[in-house]
Amino acid sequence: MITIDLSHMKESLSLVEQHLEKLSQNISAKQHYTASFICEEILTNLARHADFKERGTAAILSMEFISTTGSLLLTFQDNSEPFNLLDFPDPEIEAALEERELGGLGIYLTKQYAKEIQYRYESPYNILKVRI
Amino acid sequence: MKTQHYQEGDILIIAPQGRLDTMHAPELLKLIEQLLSNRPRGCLLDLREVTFLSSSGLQAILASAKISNTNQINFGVFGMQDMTYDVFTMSGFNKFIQSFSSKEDALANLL
Repeated sequence: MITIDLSHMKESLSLVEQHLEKLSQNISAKQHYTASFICEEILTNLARHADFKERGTAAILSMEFISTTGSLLLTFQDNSEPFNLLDFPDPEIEAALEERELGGLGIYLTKQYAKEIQYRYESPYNILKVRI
Repeated sequence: MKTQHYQEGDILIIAPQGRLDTMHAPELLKLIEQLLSNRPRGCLLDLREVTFLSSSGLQAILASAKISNTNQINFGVFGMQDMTYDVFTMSGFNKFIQSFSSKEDALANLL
């Protein structure tokens, strides 16, 4: 388990990479890339949009390699107000350059990459599980 | 993030290296904005040495394409590694940004 300080993103993402390196004997290069991608997208979106009130902007991330299926399970847990990142509307992927908006891609791509993705709120925690 | 830039005739080539992520994309976009203000005929991003592309990197590429479009600068990218190309195509960027496999191909065919 990694405790992520969302107010120090550079150090947090570096910590994520260190943990992914430790798993690199088990996971494929593609899983490593995808996990790195998803962690950045989820954590930066939590940092920007989650409402932590006075509780301190921290999240707990765990990474579990499941040998029977060869998949990697990422679990993000935070105690912000109930907040489901999966509710973000998908961007207009077919839009032309002029109409294309700058935001919304990270969560959209996370959904595309995930074999399985689930959000639930168990007071006081938001729990997001992503299997890749 | 280390980024080189140079001219090939009247085409500006910008070659970032490493991770094009939330920590590094804003700095690259700032450089691109500055370089595009010189109004080259074309601008190519050389992505051969970019090992990681997140949505922040995509946003920097999209913003660069929009600025180029507004200023009638031909814009394209080339040399993406397999996994960064996946991110690019899954986002639908290949439908409105010209992408080429090599520099030679890009310089010969950039519109």
